[in-house]
Amino acid sequence: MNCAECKELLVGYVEGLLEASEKQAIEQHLKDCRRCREEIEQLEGLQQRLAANGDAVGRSDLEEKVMNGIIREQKRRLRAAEKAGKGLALRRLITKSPISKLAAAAIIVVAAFVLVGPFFSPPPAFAKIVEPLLKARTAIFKMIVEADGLAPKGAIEGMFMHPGRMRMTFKFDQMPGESVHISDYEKGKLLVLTPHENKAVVLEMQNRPQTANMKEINLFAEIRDFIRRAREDQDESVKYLGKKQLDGVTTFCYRVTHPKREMTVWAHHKSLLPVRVEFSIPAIVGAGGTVVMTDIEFNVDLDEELFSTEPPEGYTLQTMTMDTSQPTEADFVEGLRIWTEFTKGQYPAALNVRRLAEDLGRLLPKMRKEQGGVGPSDEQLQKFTTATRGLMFPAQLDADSDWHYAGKDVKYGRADKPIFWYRPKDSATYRVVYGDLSVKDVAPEDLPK
Amino acid sequence: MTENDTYYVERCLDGHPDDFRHLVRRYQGVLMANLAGKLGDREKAEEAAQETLVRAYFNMGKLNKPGSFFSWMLGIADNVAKEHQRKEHVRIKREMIRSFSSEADTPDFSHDYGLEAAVAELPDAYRKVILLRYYGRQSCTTIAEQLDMPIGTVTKTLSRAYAMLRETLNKQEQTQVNEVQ
Repeated sequence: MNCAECKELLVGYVEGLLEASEKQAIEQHLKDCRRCREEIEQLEGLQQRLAANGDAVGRSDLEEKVMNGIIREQKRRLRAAEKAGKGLALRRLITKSPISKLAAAAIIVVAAFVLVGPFFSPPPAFAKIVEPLLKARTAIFKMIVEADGLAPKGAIEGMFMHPGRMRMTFKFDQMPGESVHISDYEKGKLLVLTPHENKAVVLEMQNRPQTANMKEINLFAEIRDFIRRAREDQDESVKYLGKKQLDGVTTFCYRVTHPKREMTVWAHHKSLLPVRVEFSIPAIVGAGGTVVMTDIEFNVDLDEELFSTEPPEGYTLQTMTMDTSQPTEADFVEGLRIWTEFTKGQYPAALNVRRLAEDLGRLLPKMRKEQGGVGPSDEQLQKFTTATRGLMFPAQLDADSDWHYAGKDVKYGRADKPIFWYRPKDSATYRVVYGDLSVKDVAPEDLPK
Repeated sequence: MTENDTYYVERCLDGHPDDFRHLVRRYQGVLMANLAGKLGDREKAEEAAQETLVRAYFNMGKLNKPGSFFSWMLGIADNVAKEHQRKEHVRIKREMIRSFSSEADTPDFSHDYGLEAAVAELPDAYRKVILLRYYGRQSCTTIAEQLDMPIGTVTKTLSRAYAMLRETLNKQEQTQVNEVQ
């Protein structure tokens, strides 16, 4: 071996990448050649200097700073988008697409249901948070959805009446008219009105979760108790953030953390009533952000008529049913099946409300074209509702369920392609759903990489 | 758990923003080194690295190939550095630091601005490999996969990069000697 050959292999040699024969040849050459020995010493010196510097630089820890930076930037963008009245809004997306208004209503109902769902079916830990909110006889409040790309600029006015009745009026700046959602949990009915079009959709809730204190569902008054309890720090999930000034009012601020969402309550320092409540939007919606309640007033006189779920006279009416129990794995698989039926074999790109709605926004005009200009039938809309509910299955899985979705670009029928897997509670094995919608139990070490 | 970049990029895009922290963990060292060399100041580098990662997160939708996250992010870092440099009289600062560090008897490699500056001056292809090898602590095999090149090319690139680094470092020493005289 000569010096040129040696120089060429030197890096491979110090990196330990050479074959035995090459290694031997280099070592032989180094024994005989002083210049190459110096060369390798210099090289190793430089490497050590790089490695030492690498270690020193690598000690910096940016993780939390960056994650916090992302949250701050997200909020800043939301405010900016709100100001500019921008935001690729779900509502706008739907109105732009030439689909029937009823289809739009159905999607919004599903999305709204996900957003306000926890009022109706609180998971156990969250119940503690909402319980005090649930005790006022009546309440009115304003609500703003601050979600990137999900909600357009506008406001929601909310009213509550015991037991379990809610009326929400949605007004969006760039949309004509308003839409009114009236829900009656006891009756299991949701009425969606678009007054300027004289249209009404009735959604019958089936299998709604029964809680023992259903009759006592009550929204706001006893948040005092909640705050008192929180201040006594009986619950690890509640953190007192101290006194905060909010629009010139001194408030006590509390943060309540739940594995899937977070809620912050600002309570008036004297009355201890909440003046602002903010809760995070669940990840399954696919858009980070918060729902903010302000201008909260309790026990005001409200007319019962406001909460009637009977469609007004002269409205065209459409009735759908919606299963409001927690979706099961079987519902999930059925949801996927329906989805592929409509998409001719494609699985959803991602499992979140936003992506599903976007996909739907593309799919419905196509269907309309194929059906000779006729929009989706009642039956088809009903199927979409069923599918959407089933596809929300991952939303209620525990944080440690470790669910993954890999259905993007997979064609229906591929038995060899895993598209979804998760670990059921207290299970040693995972459940894996394949592209032919078969489901198998799989040991963790055999999971798809 | 270590997955490749593509996996985490797709997780983020699919509505799991928290998975971005894996990418932060993987590349914070690389970014810091790259930016410290360009900005001549560890604190400024940290600020710029944060900014780079936040920008990367919000622009991830524009990333055509999730597998090319690293090169793409480095491009963002370079832009951020340029913006910061415009605001700062970095050159003066670096000069000051250099004369300060040359006063020390034993070289302190944890504040090796000379080396960081030399790395930052390397042409793109060489800089990438050096950054991944020493600041991302990746093996040559992993780098070959990551940058989609044969392993022989990785070692050749490294070899050439070492030569360039040595040349720059020698020049730096030369300047310092002249200054002292």
